[in-house]
Amino acid sequence: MLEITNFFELIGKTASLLGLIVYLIFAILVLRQVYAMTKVIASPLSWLLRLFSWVHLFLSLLLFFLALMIL
Amino acid sequence: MTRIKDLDNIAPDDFPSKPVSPPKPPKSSSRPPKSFSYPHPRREVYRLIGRGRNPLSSFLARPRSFAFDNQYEGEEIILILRRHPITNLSWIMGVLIMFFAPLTLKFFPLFESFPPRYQFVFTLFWYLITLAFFLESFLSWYFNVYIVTDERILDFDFHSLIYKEISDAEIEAIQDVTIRQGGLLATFFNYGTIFIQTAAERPQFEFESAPYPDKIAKVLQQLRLEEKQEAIEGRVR
Repeated sequence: MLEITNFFELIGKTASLLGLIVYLIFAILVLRQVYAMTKVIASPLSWLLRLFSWVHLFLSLLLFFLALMIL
Repeated sequence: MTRIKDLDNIAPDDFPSKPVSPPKPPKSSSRPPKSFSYPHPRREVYRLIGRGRNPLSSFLARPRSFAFDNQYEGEEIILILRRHPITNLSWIMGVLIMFFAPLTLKFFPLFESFPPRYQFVFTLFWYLITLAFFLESFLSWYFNVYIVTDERILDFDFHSLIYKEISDAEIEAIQDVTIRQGGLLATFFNYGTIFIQTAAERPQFEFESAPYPDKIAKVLQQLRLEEKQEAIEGRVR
């Protein structure tokens, strides 16, 4: 019984981490896109949008490592 | 009868003239002389649109600190247009619903069967997705702009995160401008879609849900007139 629970937990953890890895890739894509957009149209808010996308990527990384530790 | 011989005393031929004084030198003044200047050719356009300062505005007139890729040297941005802010209402509502959705889990325990640490990670992940949705929607609104310069109209389209399309047409290539304004919200908040037929490679430009469509049409008309005037006067850049 314990082994079955461990097996399901392992699947749950792997699936969650895979999901977070996919999300990390998405966050990197957002960052790259924000840089591309601000290069095409330079505006006074460009720095803020870049900062926002960096924060988003940082939070994604943080959640990934958190999940790696506590799951 | 004696004749008067001194005829000059009776009817002098030469009138005595006043001594002519030499011309006075111009007064020295610290102010430089006024130079005559022609009225600015885009004065009418400037009068129509004024000047905007808010970078988040959907009708940004003559912004000082905006620039775009492939901008000609000396090319002036007349207008930066985005969709009317009211069109963002749907995704803002979506973000708010997503933000408060985890609170409803108290009433609908969907993740009750998962251990608490999983529930915690799922909740954080949900908020991260909410943040991404907000960021993506905002970026889509902010960067999908229509730019009117003194030389061209440009349409910047960023569909999703991986596809972009940038089209432009010279002002003199504009053939026809049509405004379509319909619906309760559009009438109330004064926005509409502007169709611009051109003789450029892209035959039609659409400024979707742009605010003050009649004003934009006037600006385009005025710019076309000026381009024609420039062509007549040989001031074509």
